[in-house]
Amino acid sequence: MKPMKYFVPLLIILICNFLSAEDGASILKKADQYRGTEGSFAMESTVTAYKDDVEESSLDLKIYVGDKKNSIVKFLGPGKSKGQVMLMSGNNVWIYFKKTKNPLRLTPQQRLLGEASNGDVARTNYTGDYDAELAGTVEVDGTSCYHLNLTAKEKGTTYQRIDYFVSKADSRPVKALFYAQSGKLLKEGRFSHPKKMGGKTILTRLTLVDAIKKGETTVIETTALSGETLPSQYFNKNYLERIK
Amino acid sequence: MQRAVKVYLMFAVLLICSQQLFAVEYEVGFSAKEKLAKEIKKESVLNPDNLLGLGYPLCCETALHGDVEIYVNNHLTVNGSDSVFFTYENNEDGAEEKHEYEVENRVKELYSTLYAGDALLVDIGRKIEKNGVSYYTNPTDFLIDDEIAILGNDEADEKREGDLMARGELLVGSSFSFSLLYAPPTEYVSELSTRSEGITQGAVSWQGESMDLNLIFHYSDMWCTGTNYSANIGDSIEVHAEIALLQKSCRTMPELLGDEYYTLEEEEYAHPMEAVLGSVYTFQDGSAFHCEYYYNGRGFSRDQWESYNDIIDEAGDLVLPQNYQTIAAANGAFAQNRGFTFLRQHYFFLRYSKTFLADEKLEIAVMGMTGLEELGGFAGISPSYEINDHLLTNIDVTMFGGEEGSEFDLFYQRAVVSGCVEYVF
Repeated sequence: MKPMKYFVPLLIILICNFLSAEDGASILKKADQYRGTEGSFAMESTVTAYKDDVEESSLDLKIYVGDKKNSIVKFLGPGKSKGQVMLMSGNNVWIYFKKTKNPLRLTPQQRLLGEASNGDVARTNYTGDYDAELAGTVEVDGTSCYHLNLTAKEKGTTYQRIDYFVSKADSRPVKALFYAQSGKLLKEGRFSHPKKMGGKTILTRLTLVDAIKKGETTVIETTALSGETLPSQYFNKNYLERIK
Repeated sequence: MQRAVKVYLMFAVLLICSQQLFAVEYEVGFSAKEKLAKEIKKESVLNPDNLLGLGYPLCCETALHGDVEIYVNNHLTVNGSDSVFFTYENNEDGAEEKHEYEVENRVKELYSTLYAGDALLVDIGRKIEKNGVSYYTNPTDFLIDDEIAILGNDEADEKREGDLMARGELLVGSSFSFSLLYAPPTEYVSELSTRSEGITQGAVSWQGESMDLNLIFHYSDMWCTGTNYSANIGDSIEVHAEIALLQKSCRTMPELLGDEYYTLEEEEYAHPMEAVLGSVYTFQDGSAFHCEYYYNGRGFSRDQWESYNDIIDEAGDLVLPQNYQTIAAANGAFAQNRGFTFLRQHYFFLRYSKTFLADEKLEIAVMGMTGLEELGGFAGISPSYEINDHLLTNIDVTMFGGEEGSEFDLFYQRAVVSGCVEYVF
């Protein structure tokens, strides 16, 4: 009987852990709904970098989301960025410059503009890239939130760990803390400005604040969402020069 | 000038007509480039006693003597019902020299793409087909002209023109693609794109979870084959490699003709290899550090280089009349073997850039290349500033130098400063 004495509590702990992991994943899935639609779609975004609340530079982008792993970002302007096309496939990132003609590989940490990494604009869901674990509940800016601990499924993902805070009431993302592979806090993100797009409510603004450099902020704003799709074959680095 | 007007009239008609039928995307930009100053060595072992009458030592040629190159860059894309895709890119430049304008209209690309479903597409026309994953030079880029390749990728990309070709590509999912192209022999399209032999080139490309691999087979007057690969290690390191094997190559050496006179002789040798091994490290502030090792199997071996230097040393005393001819042969060998960074076999390239890739007002790049067999190389700094969304400025400063007997010591220029202003609509 003695082994049973230890086995039963161990089993209970394991079941609880299993249930809480399940819970974390389902909360994350619901939270992802606020950042885009399911399956393939296209959206337009503007990324603006601020220093001490003064606008420094901005970028207009069109993003084609293929599935959880593939997305293409077309740079609409202004200036020299116009015509560049970026493919994010899994943890691979390639960029195509009109002048150089061949796609070049980038590292996931390469920044797009200001505090925004390529993954911040090209990925609209965390379910594909991260495992979620429910760490508890906390209050963020007066909102009662689930605290999800997201860990990257693979090495080379944009962030190795994210502390993700999701509203208990409606599973809406509120805040995220993004960490590097070394464990260092890189930036803090705030999700805001819900708007009806494509028949559902989308949080159109992600504000990223640098954790080290004071006063450096980047805002990623979704301006349009459509059902426009690209065939799966086009998410190939050799196709980038043809993206219209 | 009249030719330029005709081209623009044709362009305007094409634009108006196509706008009625298709979705049209047109971009135009202007850029003006000026060599602000260059410092030339009056004396070098390849130019003893200023035999070639070059420049002035320790002073600069000023902007007044330089050439202003004005480029008009057009890019037109016409899309029709997602089944036809037409791209036109030309580059027109006018160089001002001694108050005379020379306008040259270069069609860099003019091709149409036909889609057969989502997976098969065919390009017909003049197109730039570039292969490679390295920053400084691409050994697997078999279609590039040698004259352009020696400029390094930055300048070569600007000057390169497409080949007349038919090219098919089959996309298998998002992971595989197969391509096959045929470029027929062309008598004269422009100075830089004349092909005496037809070219057949096939490629297989694969992109996996964290790496990509490409295999290229090329056949024209000889066969070449190569592979290139790139991958990420963690979230901040990229690694890449390229290897190319050629059926043959030629090396030009001054050879004794009789007892005294040297003439240029071409020596053919089999299966030279070229390779690049490189990496990029991205810092948390967004800046990037590139390094690349370049092995050039087409370059002089140590023994060949020593005998080339012995010939030059021998000709240093210009009292002997035949030595003028020897120096001319040594200069010819320098040029015909594609000049520096292609003369020897081992090189190392470094570049540090502070940029956000897409859009940042100030961008600074520092780069350098060194030969690993003898001490020597070049170093440069290139700051660029975006005045507003449309107006960009850039200054390039490059300095060359090397120990005695190195290829960089043979080079006439010590420093080049150039400036560029670009307007993008």
